[in-house]
Amino acid sequence: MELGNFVTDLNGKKCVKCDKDAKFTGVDPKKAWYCQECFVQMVRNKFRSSLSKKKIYKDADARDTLIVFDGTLSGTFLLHQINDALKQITYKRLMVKPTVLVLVSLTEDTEIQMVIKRIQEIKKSVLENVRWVVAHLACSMYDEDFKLKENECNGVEKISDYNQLIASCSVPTYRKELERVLKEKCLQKIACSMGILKCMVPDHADDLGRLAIDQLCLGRGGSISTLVTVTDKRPDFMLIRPLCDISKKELAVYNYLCDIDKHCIHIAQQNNQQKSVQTLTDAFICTLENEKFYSTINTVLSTAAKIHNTSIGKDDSKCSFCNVEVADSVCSTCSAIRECTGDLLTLLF
Amino acid sequence: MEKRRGPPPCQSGSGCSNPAKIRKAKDGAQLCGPCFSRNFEDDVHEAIVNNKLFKRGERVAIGASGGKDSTVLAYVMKTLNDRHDYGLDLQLLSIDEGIKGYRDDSLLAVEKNRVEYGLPLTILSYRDLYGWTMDDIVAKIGKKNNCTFCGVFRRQALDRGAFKIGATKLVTGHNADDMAETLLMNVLRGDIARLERCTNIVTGEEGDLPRAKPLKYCFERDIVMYARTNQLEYFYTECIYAPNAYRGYARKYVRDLEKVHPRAILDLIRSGEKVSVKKEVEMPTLKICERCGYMTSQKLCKACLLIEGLNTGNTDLGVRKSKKSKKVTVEADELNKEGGCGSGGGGGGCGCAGAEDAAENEETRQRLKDLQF
Repeated sequence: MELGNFVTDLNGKKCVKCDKDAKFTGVDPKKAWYCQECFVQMVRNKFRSSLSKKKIYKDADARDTLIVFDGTLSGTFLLHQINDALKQITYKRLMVKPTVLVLVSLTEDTEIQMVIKRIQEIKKSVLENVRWVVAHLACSMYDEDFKLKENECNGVEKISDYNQLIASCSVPTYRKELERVLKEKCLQKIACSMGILKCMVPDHADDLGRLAIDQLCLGRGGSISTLVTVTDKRPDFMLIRPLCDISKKELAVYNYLCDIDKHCIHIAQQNNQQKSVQTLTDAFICTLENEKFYSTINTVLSTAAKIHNTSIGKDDSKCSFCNVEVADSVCSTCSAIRECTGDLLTLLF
Repeated sequence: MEKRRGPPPCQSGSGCSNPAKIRKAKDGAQLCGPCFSRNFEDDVHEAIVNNKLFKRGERVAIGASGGKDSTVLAYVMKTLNDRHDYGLDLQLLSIDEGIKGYRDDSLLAVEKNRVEYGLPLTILSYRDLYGWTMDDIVAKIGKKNNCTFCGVFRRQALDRGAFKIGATKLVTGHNADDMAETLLMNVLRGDIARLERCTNIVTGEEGDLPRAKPLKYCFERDIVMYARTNQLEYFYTECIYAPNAYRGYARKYVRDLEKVHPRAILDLIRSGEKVSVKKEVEMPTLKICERCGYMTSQKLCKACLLIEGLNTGNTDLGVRKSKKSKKVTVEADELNKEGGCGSGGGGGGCGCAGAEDAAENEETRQRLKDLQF
């Protein structure tokens, strides 16, 4: 992307933090204009404040954290923020012991090998003194404890089982939801096998806003607070989403300005998307944003943060599959997913 | 020559052998006309019984606008009342907003319903209640934001009409698609107070006049098919003053959901039922309006605020937030005090306002007091 594309909305505006000419905005071009240095600082502040507000690492006993890197824009941003946090560049040092988990979703062996080579290159410049592990999403199919190997992709022997399970789901909406739940299960199993209790995921505000509306359409309205806020406490496991206040646009601009775009991993993906609740939600939000309703995502996320399930406080048993919805054993959405996958999903319970 | 394969048989559970004509949007079952109607009525009956919407002997006001939802609601309520012996006294209640060429024609449809179903009909008009018709309001403020006035006035008018006929329950024709749209709108606008209750099948249960929505679990397409199957006449023109842009986005999204994943509509409603607000979040408290006695969370209720804006010419009052509106509110309060002193003392003059404005305000206040019935 060229620098010229960033200034179309700003004509002679001044930075809100200093006296320089404004060049960048957040999601709403009518508010909060920044110059380059202040924009970079604003994005960094959002990242650190989301962790500080929840006091996740203040006086924490367990500092071991799994840092998920999936090659995306936000994964690269997260990687570099942790890198800066350990070096005490602009803030107090973050008391965290990271382990980087490279999450792979490809199925071709040649592509996986290419990713592993790429990881070796990235490793030389970011977090070089930290343990790196490469794992496939199919690790969610393991049913007993397993030992992780370094310098190779873990879980490749389970790819065929994983693909078979995904393919057995005939409804596109439930297939995407199944992929999301299996990814969370994968993270939990890997963290458990390494004895780590915390896991940082690179979900940004745009993804989480869409997820909130998707989950409403799937009947999990009482759980969207858990699914889209910074901390997500589950039994013996905690998901942390420090990028939940940062939009995709801000991440893209930040990565460009700080010259860390080169650490993304781009693989060409097929675009034959079947219509599903997830694709409709994406189109819906894009329509609203094109109609200049810029705060849609922020409003949805702030609304989601204020609500919880009506039966909170009594018998906190959760669905045994998705681990977030309050249910006796399996929530209604997971029951529907199980019905359309036949017997394959039952093996995971 | 091989015969062309006919339509599939009816999938009703009671062994009907007729060919199927209608595919039910809710669960995809293919049914013949009579079985579809019976199935639809059983759905509504199940919603009524499971939620205990009515008690025997209650007088129930049916909000009737002449459109498909209220027409089907009135017909189904009468059918089920006769079939299952609810013991309800059903009455039709219509509101005339005063939109020439639209509401007068739709009220003709309600008149037909009154004659065909044998239900008493009461019609209230905005002109009688508030002194303004929607035509007058649009002429004054333009087409923007006029839905705010109409919605606020109609909601109060329905309550007042139900009180007038002595009803203890008010039923409206909100269907599953409407509920899903409302839930999405409240999430998109961050309206936490409404989000908690917008999918309840009964609202205002603690008050004097609960509102029930028996069609809550019925899809809009099924309602249209039911009206066609039973040859119910309804008015189907859209309101001429309603661009309603923001709700249009949610409506289009909900309709696309219904095509791609019909279960998502009911899942949205189920999501709304599970939602409650965290204790830390501050919620508005209910009070009584100083002028008309209606319940409100502010000093004046929305209807009084909007009427005052119309009468004083400040059409932003109650609609848009601005520094200017605060000043006008202060001036309005002073005007009230002066008017009060004037009427109390008998000899006071209204120095800061014109005689016509003062008379208009006095007339408005008097009319609001008369609304106590």
